[in-house]
Amino acid sequence: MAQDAGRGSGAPRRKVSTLPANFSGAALTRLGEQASQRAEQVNGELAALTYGALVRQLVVDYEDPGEVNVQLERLGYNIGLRLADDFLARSGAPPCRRFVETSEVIARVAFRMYLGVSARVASVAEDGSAYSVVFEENPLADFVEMPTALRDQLWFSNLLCGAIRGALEMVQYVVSVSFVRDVLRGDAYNEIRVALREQRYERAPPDEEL
Amino acid sequence: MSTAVFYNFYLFNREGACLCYREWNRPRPGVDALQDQRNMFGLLFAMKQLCNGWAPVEEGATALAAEAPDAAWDPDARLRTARPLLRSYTTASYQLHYLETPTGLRFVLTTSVHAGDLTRVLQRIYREAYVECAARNPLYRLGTSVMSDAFRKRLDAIVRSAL
Repeated sequence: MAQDAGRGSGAPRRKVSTLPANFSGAALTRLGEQASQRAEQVNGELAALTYGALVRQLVVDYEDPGEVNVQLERLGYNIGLRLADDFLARSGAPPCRRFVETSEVIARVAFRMYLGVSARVASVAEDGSAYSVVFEENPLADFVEMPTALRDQLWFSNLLCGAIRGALEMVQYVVSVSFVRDVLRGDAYNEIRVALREQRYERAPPDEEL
Repeated sequence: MSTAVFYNFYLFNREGACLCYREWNRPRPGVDALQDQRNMFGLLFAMKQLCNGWAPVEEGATALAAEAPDAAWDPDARLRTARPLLRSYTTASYQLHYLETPTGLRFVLTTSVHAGDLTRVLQRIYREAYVECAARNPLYRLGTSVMSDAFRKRLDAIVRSAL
């Protein structure tokens, strides 16, 4: 993203000036906390090991790590399509009126609710059409050590990208989502980049009486 | 509240497909179900448009509508950017209660008059019936009918407890 180049060095900064008052970080974090406490919990280790086994099998089946990334993204996408309603019904998150507002809701509420970790928003594009979700802890990758052969090709947690894409599509934002940094590759933190491609609008129902 | 009678329930998705229709008491039987559902969706769509068009200007809202890249040629752009404002309407003989989710689902309940505000009931149907019996059901295909026994039972239980 050209707009992001040169914006601060080191840890990316958050830009809040465009967000309404009820999007304060602390309030959203609290929402995520509450929602995750209300939900039925799954043992984190079980989830991590199951996910690991799935990725491993995909690597065996598809042989090409690039194809594994695609499959993981697709799996996540189908999860995201369903998760959107689950999230909206149970999180109590404030409605987003513009795309940039989805960033804080995903990072602070959804990540806390579904992954149990907190994430933050970084590198928001000037026009609000792209942002990064940054997080250090990744419960999906708890026990993972990447073999050198895959290290530079496989995005182990690509499922997350798909889930974000699917969920945003349900609220009329067509986005492209990809990993930019991954702790498994030796980066200091995980970073997922979300970019808006198209905003859909509702159409009047077709007139069938004509 | 205690005297309210629930007539029927519709669930539409964004495309206007009726995912669920449930009838408890309908004082006017005998209409073509498909046509009835289509009319209902059309009515709600038009009302939503009118409600949003008539709403007092809120800070941010019009700016957003103008901001929408294709607002100039897309008359519906405003619908996308404005919050759904329609919640219910009352006639002399019945009341209609409406909940629209950001994912485009429309929950509709019709009752006798004086039923009060049923937003909470509609939210419970969303959370406890739709999400638990449809969205979380891996064998449910999104956008298809949700008339499973489990869904129907939940729906009936929620409505009964609201009486």
